[in-house]
Amino acid sequence: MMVVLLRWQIFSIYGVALLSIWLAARQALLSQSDPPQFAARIAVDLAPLWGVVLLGIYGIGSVAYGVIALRDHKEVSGVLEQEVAEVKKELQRLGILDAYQK
Amino acid sequence: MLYSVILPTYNERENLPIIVFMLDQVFAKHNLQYEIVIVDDNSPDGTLQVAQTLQKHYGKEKIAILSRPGKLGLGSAYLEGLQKVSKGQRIIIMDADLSHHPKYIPQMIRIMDASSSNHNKKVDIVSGSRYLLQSPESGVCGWDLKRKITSRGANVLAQFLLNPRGCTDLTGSFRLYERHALEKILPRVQCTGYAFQMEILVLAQREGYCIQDVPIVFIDRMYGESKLGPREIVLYLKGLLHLFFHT
Repeated sequence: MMVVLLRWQIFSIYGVALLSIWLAARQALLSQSDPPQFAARIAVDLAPLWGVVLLGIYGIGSVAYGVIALRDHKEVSGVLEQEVAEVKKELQRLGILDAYQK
Repeated sequence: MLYSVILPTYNERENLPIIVFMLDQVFAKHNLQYEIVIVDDNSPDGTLQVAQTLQKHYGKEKIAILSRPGKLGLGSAYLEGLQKVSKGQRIIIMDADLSHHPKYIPQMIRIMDASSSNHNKKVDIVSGSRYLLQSPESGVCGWDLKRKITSRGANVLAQFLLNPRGCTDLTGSFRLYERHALEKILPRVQCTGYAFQMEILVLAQREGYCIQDVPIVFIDRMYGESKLGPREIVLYLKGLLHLFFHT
């Protein structure tokens, strides 16, 4: 029987996996015989922060792309207004508008 | 095959006769049987009277009216319209304020019909999408930059948290459903506001229903005020969190 995971469970699994990789990377860095370089410490120790920053950049980029690519059909409004005017004429002709207007 | 269009209304006195006329034209042109189920929540502007006038003109077989005592929510309007009144085998949900043009309905039906012969890919829900960015026929009209950013931001967040495969517009409310799909899902929906539409699609996917997008242009309301205030945003985020933890 296939187990269906809830979204938070899937995120938790990814979170635990990434946390394990991070902890292992830190451990590997610290267990080197030579003291780790400052840049390497920054890169590894702050990896979760870099991850959040990258995710934020990706999110902002996605929104920006979506806003730019979202098609704005400015002309449709005018076309609809015209259509509505024609429909109202027809409704008037059928007597529908007069039936409920005060 | 009878198509039921469920139209919840609140203060749609101006728009209702226009949308009904347009729907009648579209269905007649394509030789389709239809009924329009108007669910009115005691509109103070006399929408019910307009609905009754339309029913006299088009007939009770084509215009059904469910009058409710007050604003009881969109979800319950759909549910009551579906369970108490509608008779169609396929259900169309759309807005009554002309933001959804009926001209897209035949295309939605074509997609559903074309899939009927293919049992592996039978489409149960066709969803009108404003965000099929590759399609020139998808988009919006009348949104300012702030609205676009808010809407796209909400969509990106929902896509990331919920991963609705193949659904580009989770909060859209212009859809064609097979009746059995909507009957199964709608009673389970708990969210309100924009998240309501999102929950329907997410639950449908979890149930194994097949959803396909079709490009539409959403026209911002001609006669009403904007519905996207801080309250709606908070409701949406609460709904999103609810779906994240429960689906």
